[in-house]
This record gives sequence, C-alpha cells and structure tokens, in this order.
Amino acid sequence: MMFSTTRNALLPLLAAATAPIASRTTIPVLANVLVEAADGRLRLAATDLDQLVTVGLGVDMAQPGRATLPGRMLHQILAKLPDGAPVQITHDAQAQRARLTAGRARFDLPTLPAADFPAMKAPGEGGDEPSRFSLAAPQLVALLGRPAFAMSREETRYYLNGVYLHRLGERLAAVATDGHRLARATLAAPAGAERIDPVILPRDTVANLLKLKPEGEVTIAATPTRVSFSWGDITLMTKVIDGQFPDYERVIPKADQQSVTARIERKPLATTLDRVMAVATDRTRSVRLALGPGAVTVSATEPEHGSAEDTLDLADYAGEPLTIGFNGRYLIDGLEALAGDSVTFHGDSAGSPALITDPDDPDILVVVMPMRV
Amino acid sequence: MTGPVLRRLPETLVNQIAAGEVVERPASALKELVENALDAGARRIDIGLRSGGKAEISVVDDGRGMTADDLVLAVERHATSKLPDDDLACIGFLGFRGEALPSIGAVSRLTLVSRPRGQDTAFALTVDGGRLDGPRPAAHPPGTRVEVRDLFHATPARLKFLKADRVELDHALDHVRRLAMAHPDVGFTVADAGRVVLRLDATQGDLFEARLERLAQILGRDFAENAVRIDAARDGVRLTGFVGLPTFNRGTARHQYLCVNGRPVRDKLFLGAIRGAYMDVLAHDRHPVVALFLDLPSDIVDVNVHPAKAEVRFRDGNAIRGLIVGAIRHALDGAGQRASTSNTAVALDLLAREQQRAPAPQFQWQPRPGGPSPSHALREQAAAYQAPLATGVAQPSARAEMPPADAVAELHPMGAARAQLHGTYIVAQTADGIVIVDQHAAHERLVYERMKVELADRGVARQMLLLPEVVELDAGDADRLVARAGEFAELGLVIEAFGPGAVLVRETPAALGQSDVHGLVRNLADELAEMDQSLGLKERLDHVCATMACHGSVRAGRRLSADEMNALLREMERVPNSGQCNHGRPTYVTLKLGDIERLFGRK
Repeated sequence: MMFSTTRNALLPLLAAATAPIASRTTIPVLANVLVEAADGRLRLAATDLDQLVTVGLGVDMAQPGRATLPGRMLHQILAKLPDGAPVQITHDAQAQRARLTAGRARFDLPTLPAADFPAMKAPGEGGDEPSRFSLAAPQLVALLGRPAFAMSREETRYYLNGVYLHRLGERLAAVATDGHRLARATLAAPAGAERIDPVILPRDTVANLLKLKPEGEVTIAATPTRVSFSWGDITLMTKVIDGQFPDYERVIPKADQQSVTARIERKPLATTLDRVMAVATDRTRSVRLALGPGAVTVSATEPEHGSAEDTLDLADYAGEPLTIGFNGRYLIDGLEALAGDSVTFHGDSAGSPALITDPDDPDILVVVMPMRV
Repeated sequence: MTGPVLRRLPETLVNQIAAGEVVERPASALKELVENALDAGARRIDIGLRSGGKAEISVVDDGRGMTADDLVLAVERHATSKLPDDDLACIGFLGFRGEALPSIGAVSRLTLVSRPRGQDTAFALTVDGGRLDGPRPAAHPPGTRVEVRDLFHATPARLKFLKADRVELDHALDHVRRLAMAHPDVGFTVADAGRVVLRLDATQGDLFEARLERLAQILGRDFAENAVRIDAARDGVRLTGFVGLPTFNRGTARHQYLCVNGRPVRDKLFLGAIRGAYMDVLAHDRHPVVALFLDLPSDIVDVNVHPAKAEVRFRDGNAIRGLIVGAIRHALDGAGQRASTSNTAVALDLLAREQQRAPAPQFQWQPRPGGPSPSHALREQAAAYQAPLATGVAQPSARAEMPPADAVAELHPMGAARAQLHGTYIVAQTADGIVIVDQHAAHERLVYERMKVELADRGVARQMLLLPEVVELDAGDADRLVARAGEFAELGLVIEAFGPGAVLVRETPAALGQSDVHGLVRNLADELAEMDQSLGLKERLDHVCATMACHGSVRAGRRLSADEMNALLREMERVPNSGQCNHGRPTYVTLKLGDIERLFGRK
C-alpha cells in the first residue's frame, strides 16, 4: 500500500476516525486505525467493539492495500507536522511496518494485520430492513445533546447509561435519566422514522457523536440492535444497549396538575444557584428554594462553611408559597439544557418531583427529584 | 406387605443420638468434662489427651467429688445436681441438662473415679458403649477423674469425619483456653501424649489483675500491654474485661472472646457489637482482639438455646449491644493518647538493626540547642533522594523555636514541636521522651472526626428517587430490612416493603451520589442476617467522610510552621481516637527516654 495526501486533508478525518479509541485496551488492534486504500479513495476506521467510526477521502494512490496503524500516534504525528505538509504513507506488509514521510521527516510505525481488525455489521446488513431517515445536523445535536446531561454513570442500571430514542406519537423523542433527574427532547418525526424501534444509544456513542460535530444532513439508519449516523465522508455506527428503558412517562408530572407554577428568568436563576452553592462544598450540594409570589429565595447552609442566601424576582406565580430542597447541581444542569430566556417551574410539594419547561419551546423538559434537607 | 413398625428406641440408641448433638468431636466432650470439673468447684484441672483426644481424654480435678450412688446417677440421662430448683430460668451452673456424661458414655469407654471431700474411699464406675460396670471401690485422692477412651467407637460414621490429631488438639486447646479465661483462679494443664502443651497457673489478685494475667498467659504479653480495661454496668448487667487498642489488630475475628456468666460463647450479637465499636478506628478487614465477660442475672439470659451451649439469647439484645459498644468506645476514647506499644517496639527494633548494619556509625553530631539532629536512619533515607545532603546532615524541614518549648513539653502529653522532618514528620519533645507524628495521617483523622460530628448534628440529606428501585431479596432478608426501616431512614435510606421478598427504595443518602442501590441493600441484608445489625450504610457514609477528610487535610510534604505544628499536637490531645488514622495505622510513635538510652547502650 502506498498513497500521498496532505496533512490538512488527513488530520481532521483521522481525528474523527480515532474518536472511539480508548486510552487503554487489552486488545492491541483496538488501539489501531484501519487504513484501506482502493480505487483512489482512502478509508479509515477505528472501533471499541461497541461503536465504529469510518471516514473516507480521495488520495493520490500509487498502490492499493490494507493495514492497521497505531491511531493515537498517527494522529499526534500529523498534528505536529507543519501546516499543509504533503504526506506519503507506505506499508511494507512483509516487515509489518508503515513508513510515513513528510518533507525530510520520516516515521516508521509498527502495524498489525488488517485481518485482525474486528468487523462490525452495518444496521440491516444481513437482517431486518432498518428505518432510514434524515435530520439536519443541528436538529440531531439538539435532540440527543440536550437530554444527554441526565445520562447515568452508575453501571448496575446499565440501561440508564445512554439516551433512549423512540417514537412518541407523531414525534421523535430522546430521554435520559439517572434516577434522580430526567430530561426529554422531542421533534417532529421526519419521514422514514414512522416505525423506528425504541433504542438506547450508549453514552460513549452520544458523547462521540456530539464531539464529531456533524454537519449538513445526517442520515440515520436504525434497527433494534444497531444504529448508524452518516454525514459527508463520516459514518458513526454503534451497537445499542440491550435493555429495557423504564416506563418514564408516568414520572413526568403533568404541568396542569401542579399546585405551584412560577416563571423565572433562566440565566439569573442558574447564576444565583451557582453563587449560593459557593458555601455548599459538601458532596450533597443541597440548596433550598423558597418560592412565593414575586420572588424566589435560594439558600444553602453548611455548618462548617457558613450559609448563603440570595433572592431573585419572578414574574408570574400561581399557588401557595413552596419551600423545596434540591441538589443545586441538578438544577443548574437542567437549566443549562434549556435555551430560552425564562423557564416555568412546576411543583406540588417538597416531596414530589419538579417539572421545568421552556414556555417558548415545548420540545424540551426537565424533571428533578427534590432532596430532603 | 407390612411397613416399618412404630416403636420406642432403645436407651443406648437414644443416648447415641443425644451424643450426636452434644458431642460433636473430642473437644466438645472435653469441654463438657471441664465444665463439670469447674461446676464441682475445682481449683486445679489436669487434662490428658492422646491423639488429640480421639484415643483418650482424661480430666482430673480436685473438686467436691461424688459418692458411689452419685456415680451411678451421673451416667443416667437427665440426672444432674445443677438445677436444684427445677427452674430452667435460673441456671447458675455451666451444665444443667444432665446429658453430657450419658451421651459420652454411649459413644465411648467411660471410666469415672471419684472420692468426695472428707471421705476415705473412692469408687470407680465404667460405662462401655452404654453398659454399666460398678461402682467398685478404688484408690484416688479427693476429687474426680474422668477417662474417655475410644470416643465414637460406637458410632463409626462420626469417627470417620474427625480431622487429623493436630486439628482436634487445636480445637481442644481452644475450648480449654476459653474456659480458662473465665476462670483465672483455676489452674489448668493440658498434656498431649504425656507432653505438657498448655500450662496456666492459677492467678492471684483482684478480678482485673487476675484476668489480665490469665489473658496475658493465653493471648500473649503483647495483649496485656496493649489492652484497655473495660468495666461498665447497666440495669444489673456488668461488662468487664479487656479490649485491644485499635493499633493492635489482627487479620481474623478469631481472637474475640466473650463469656456470659462464666460460659464461653460465640454470639453474632457480640461479634456485631465489636465491629460496631471499632468501626471507625479500624479498616474493614482488620479485627481487634477482645476478651469480655458479661455477668447478668440468669433470668434475663437464655443459655438453653444450643446443644453445646455455644450460643445464648438475651431478653433485651439491643441493651446488651448498646452496653458493649458504649463501654468499648468510652474506653478507647479514654485511651486516645495511647498508640500500641508494639509500634514503639518496631521503631526501636528498626533503629537498633540500622546500627548493627553500620558498625562504624558516622554520626556528625552537631550540638544544636534549638533542635535535635535527625536520626541516623532518617538521614540515610534523606541521602537516598536528596543527593546534595549526602555529605552533610539533613536540615530539618522546619524548626520550632526554643524558648517556651520546655514548659510546653512538661504540660502536654504530645509535647512541644521541635522540628519537621522531610516535610512529613513532626518531632516533638515530651516530658519523658519524644513523639514522632505523621502529619498527614494525624490531620486526616482530626478532619474526619470533625466531619462525623457534623454529620451527626445535621442529619443526612436524602435524595429522593425519580424511579424508585425494587430490590429482590429472599423473604426473610426483606422482612429484616423493613423491620429496621426507621434506623435506615435516619441514615438517609428510605425503604418500604414491596410484596414478599422485595423492598422498594424511595430515597438514598445524598452524600453517596449515584451509587449502586441494589448492592447497598443486599449488603445490608447480608449483614443483618449475619450479625443481627447493619453497619454497612454507616460505613459507606463514614467512607465518604474519610475520603473528603483525606482531601481536606494537610499533605505529606507540606512545610508547617512551629505554630501550626503545635496547634496540630494540641488538637490531637483534644480529639478522641487521634492515635490511629482511619485505617487503624498509628498516627504517631512515642519513644521514651529510657528506650532511647537503651539504643545507645546507656542502660
């Protein structure tokens, strides 16, 4: 195998391809990126066995072939080459070595046989016909990215370690929860998504997808076990979490059945919470919200670190005054997932979940369970 | 065809069945015989074994003895002199069921020789596989001799399950030690195949002196030097004995002894209480050494629970547990300024060895009134990674100022800070020696203690769950957990029953963050089943405190000013349990002047 290209053409695509590579792995080939050259095109791929990213680009091809090269190292080398430098990679299958030359710089890298690289079937390959639909990149990022903060990191409930993508009436919904809070984003279901089976996208996949910053139109193919996202020259393919997402809808409070409704400015509330939490260095990060007509008072008390209190005016308030405790971090995370100038807080009692919505955007909601302080 | 016919079992078979329960192995037969000797008021008990007791057990005592008529009655089932009022609620002797001798007689060749005090003749009686022979006159000094030969020859199945001689001997010795602990005024010898393997002389002095002496004989001198005396009473229940300092710990819980009214027992309530008492001064996998003696009116304890009487039931288990935990904690808090002497011994030993290795020590002694020179050992360590210092003397990282120090040293047990070495160790001068403090470990402990107090004052914040978790357990575990729901709620875990064999978790301690709720609940259930109490939750919360304490305390390597060092020493004096870090390691070592003088051969 031998091909030539430039640093600037290869680097961004290599960065995308190597996204799934874990920092430590017991299977050597998983640290490598698969490089395939054929028909004037180069295909790069890397996997962690759960997800696979492939990218393609046109190169000057002298000789076709396949090999796997150390992914991180290749990326570092390219990043350190001068801007616009021409790059040539030659693979010697006999010696299992690849040589990268750029100007007078020369790098010899160990390779592993391309045959060792694990194969991963694309959605629908040798199975059910997948649901296929496309979304504009910003829509997809909003759908999966906004609830992503609520994904669980705790591994015993593995089915919460991701975003649950499913059909909700005429809409497509993405939900994440860690058992303490929940967030849901929705959008009008695009053509082709009518019969999508519910899937749980793993947290690493969601994180990688957001990191890759999709552009243009993203095509999504989904089966009950595999999902792929494709845009431009990049494809991210992933297995989904094999589990049952809980019946979350019953824990979302009905906005019209809550005794307390308050409209609060979003950013000022987040900064007020952050300010008051300066004294809440405890792991619990507990804050108390005293809501009433005209104002909300945020307070925190830590015997060792003192106490803090701040008051924020609020525009509309309906219901009796309510005092309720929360993990302040959960509230701030939730507020950041919303985008509008103000939020509507719906609550019922100090012991029931609070619902936070955006009065101007029905596509997002956040539920936070209170803390008894 | 006729089926099996119902019939009454013959007496020998009945006794063999009873023997199966009472006499599990040679050691349990021995235990019954020694208990008989103690009940007979013996002052001296000599035990002989062959093949770990499998071939022969003999117990000779100088107790009150038995007449010829007594001998015959003694080997009949349910014949006993130890229940004078026929009241099982009032058991004043170790034995009471009258089962031991006939049971042993049923499965061995048993010989009894006895002469009552003040009489001239002794009588002997033999039982062989349940058949009586005698009594016939014999020669014997006052007291009783019991010989058991060929135990289990009548029940070959049991014989097959016995272990090697060595193992059986260990079991036998264990029983004797436990009984001997409770009776320090009685002398014991145990001989195996004619060789004395255990000799415990009767001890003198008041209860505590005698017991400590006996415990030292059994558990070693180390224990006596590192033990704290326990003496507490509540509602007619008295708890006495000795418990080891946390720094004197072991890898197993085998060295935890409890006697209830002179009867050695292994009780899960007791083991749980011990763990609770030492919970935050010992790492999870280390165990303290304790020997406790509980004396209580016989009507509030039931010893008739276990055939071998290894377990007891208390009318009010919680009160007993509270008494044990409270008494130990109180005693340990009082001993807060005592780290285990074995640490001093280790330190001295290391220093001494260091000297032997370097026959011509190159001490460059610089008279410096302000601060002592670091020891030879420390200097060598310094040389290892502080190359520029290799030719000279390592400078202390910081030096405390001199003038008020002597006065301070006189006044305070932790003394006056003199220097900080390697940015890690504080050296302080006390009235009669020096103290070396590990600054990180000590400060970590102080921060931890403060956090615990706060946690107790404020209560635990509880995060409610959006999706309550159902944890499947077996029905017994679930019931036990739900019965303690109130206790758990105080620690931040709110559970409720969820059908048979499951609990629903509604709220968890906020400090645990997102944690494995299933694992936590299962652990708690296991602990309840095992120890009848559950420390797992408290331990996890304490672990959070400990982790935060570790992050919030001064690190090794940070230079401290003299004032900072002295402040640390003063706080260590004030805070209970500052003698060990959260993992049971010592936070400081004391070297007495005498010890130091010995190092230099001055003594």
